[in-house]
Amino acid sequence: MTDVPKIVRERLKAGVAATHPDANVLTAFSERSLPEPEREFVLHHLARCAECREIVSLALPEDGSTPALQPVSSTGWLAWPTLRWVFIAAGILVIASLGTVQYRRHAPASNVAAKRSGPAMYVKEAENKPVATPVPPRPPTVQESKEASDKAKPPSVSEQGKQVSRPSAKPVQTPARLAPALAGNDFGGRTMGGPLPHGPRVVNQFQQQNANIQQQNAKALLVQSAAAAPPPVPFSKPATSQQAQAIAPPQTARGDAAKSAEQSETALTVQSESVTQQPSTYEIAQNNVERAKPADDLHLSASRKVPVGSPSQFDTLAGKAVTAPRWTINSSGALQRSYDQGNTWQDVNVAAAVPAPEGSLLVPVEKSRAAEKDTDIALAKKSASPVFRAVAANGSDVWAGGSSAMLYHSVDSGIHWTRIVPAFSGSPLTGDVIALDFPDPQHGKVTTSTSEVWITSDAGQTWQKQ
Amino acid sequence: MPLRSVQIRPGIRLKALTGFAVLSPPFRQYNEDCLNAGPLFRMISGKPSSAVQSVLNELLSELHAKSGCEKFGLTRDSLCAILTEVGTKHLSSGGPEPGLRAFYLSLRVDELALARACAEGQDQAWEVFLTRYREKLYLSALRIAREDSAARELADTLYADLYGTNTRDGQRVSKLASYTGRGSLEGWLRTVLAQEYVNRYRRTKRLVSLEEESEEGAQFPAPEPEPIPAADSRLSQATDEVLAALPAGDRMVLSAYYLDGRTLAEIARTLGVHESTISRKVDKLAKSLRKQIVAALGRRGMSRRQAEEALEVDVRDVQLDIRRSLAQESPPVSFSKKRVEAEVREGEG
Repeated sequence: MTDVPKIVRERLKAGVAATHPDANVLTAFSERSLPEPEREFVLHHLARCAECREIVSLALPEDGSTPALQPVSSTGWLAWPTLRWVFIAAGILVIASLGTVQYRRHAPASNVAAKRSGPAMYVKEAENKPVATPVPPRPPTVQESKEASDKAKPPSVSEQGKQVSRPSAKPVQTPARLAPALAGNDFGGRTMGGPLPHGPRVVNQFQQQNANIQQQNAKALLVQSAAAAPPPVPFSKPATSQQAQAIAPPQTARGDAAKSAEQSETALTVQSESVTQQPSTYEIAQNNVERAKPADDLHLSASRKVPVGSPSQFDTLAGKAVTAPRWTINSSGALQRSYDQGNTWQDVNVAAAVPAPEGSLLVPVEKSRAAEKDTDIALAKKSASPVFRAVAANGSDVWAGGSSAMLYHSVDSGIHWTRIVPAFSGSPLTGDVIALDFPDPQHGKVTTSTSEVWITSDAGQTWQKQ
Repeated sequence: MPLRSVQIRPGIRLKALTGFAVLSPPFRQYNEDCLNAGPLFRMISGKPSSAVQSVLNELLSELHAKSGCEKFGLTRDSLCAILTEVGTKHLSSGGPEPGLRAFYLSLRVDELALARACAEGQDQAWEVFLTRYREKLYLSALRIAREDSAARELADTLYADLYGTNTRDGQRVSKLASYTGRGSLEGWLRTVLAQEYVNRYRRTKRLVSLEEESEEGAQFPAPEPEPIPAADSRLSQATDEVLAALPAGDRMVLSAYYLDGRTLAEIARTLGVHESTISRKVDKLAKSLRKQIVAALGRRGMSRRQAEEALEVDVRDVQLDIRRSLAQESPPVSFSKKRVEAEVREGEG
């Protein structure tokens, strides 16, 4: 660390300290609860008074459980040091987006070229592409479906049989996956369509199966592709119909090619014809696949039981870094959150919060029937118009409470909420929650308008009423 | 130690509450009673301002509900008087009137009620206080004093002050009566402990140093005011000018780091920022201070070379009387000559 001139040290000592702030002000300063002008006054004093600096330093809690850290920015957003990082981040984003665009442009061209080069090359590609991923490379698989339907089954060409068998594994999986994904079912619910945790091993199993029943798989593929046509999201419907149309010609081509095993060349010719036809259908299918991705992501969100529509979950899915936000309750009792130091606020909707999953923080300890009924009535009242009165946050751990015994807890800055109903010896919390005091995520105190005080020491798992 | 031994009963249960909304009279009548009540009015120094009255009119119900003061043995009137006193004191110490509402809403009224109830000697309040804070108080004292016996003595001394063993005009005076709820009660207790420790340490250090020196037979000469040479004053003035222009936070960081020897982590925790922020700030300040002092010396007639030389001498931490060497009783001499004189003087000393 660079040293300062000695004269600086001497003159730093020479400051005259005014009246010392009392213990209340010093405590509020340490806990960051002083308004800015008063905080500035205390800083001015601390800059000149070694004794008060010593007191503040000694009085800090040992575990560092102070309010959420805030960046010290005395120069503002337009200062060069901050702008420098903004420019760097913008440059990285631009390069990444250009790279992504370039990759997408080249990817279909390279795949088409690989198909045209012959079955041998195609096998290598199929080997290289992982099949176990939940979202496999769909364009090749869609192509493979057409390939499998187009190709004849020349028994004399065992290699060709293998080639056909291997790619058919993928088309069997992909449409089945697309269907449940787009329909919003549980991901991996079907045996053939779910994610493959074992990776290549499962692929090998499919290879063995498909090697024996190639044409049956191709038929099943056609049926599934047709089934997959309706489920896709509305914005992909034109592509779907074209895709269905694209499937029909290959079917016809397959029927022609199946006439004789010695017409392998013919089959290959048909294959090449269907290959030439493919760019248009392939691109459309690719668009279909690409457009299906957001739906897939939505499906993933749904499987986590998060209320759709909250912008924060998309931020998380997009991989953006989310710092601990600020929280407030506006004048009409709505819970609001800000990710930009209070410049803009977004309403946070917990009214659609799902019921807590198994093993969560709901504490119905020895609830009586009357208490449960009261709680149900309270819940029904709450769902009508939630009015928040208090919010407390420790980083990403947030508690919010309000009218009709409403109390919610989130551990991820408000993306997921769990409704908490404190109960003690059969009596639930009643009244409005008007104050929340959580010095750390584990310990907290809830105060109600009926002068009840509820204490927890385990992040809301158990409660005691005082 | 005349502390009452309080048996702490686990599982303290709240007594049944009366229906607040039904039984309590209208608020305005309560507020007037609170402010005009005889014995409570004495708590308030001076007549409460109209700003305090109007804000309390609006907020007393909510603050009363938050405080739960009845379980500590405080009445609503008592709480009103306490809040009036706290608000009045805040305004008299320079707090702005427009910020009074936010000030009241930021108070920890539940802990304020507990502290003031303890100050009044309410048993149920002391039970709660001891349950919550007895262990924490001792642990904080141990962390501050770093030694068990000193920590116990520190904690016991504070307990005595909190309980109110001191009397004034025949009435028990408890330190808890000075708690205003601006910060947490636990934080306030740590701050008070730290204040007590620093005061004790300062007294002890002064006594020990005097004893040691008297044993050595040293006299205690009156401090001689050192004359400040004119040339040296330019350096001091330039440095003062630059330091005065610094934001208070930056100056505090410099003082804590270079004078107190605090670590970056400690300073960061004090200010509530990340350690890396403090590290960057200290580094940036140290680099920019030199440039600014050189520029300030330039405005005072020094050439750049002279200014850098003046600073360079300080940095080398030579046992040098800077003031004398910079004195301009004689015409300015070159730096090399000054250095020779300084070394000669050092040899003599």
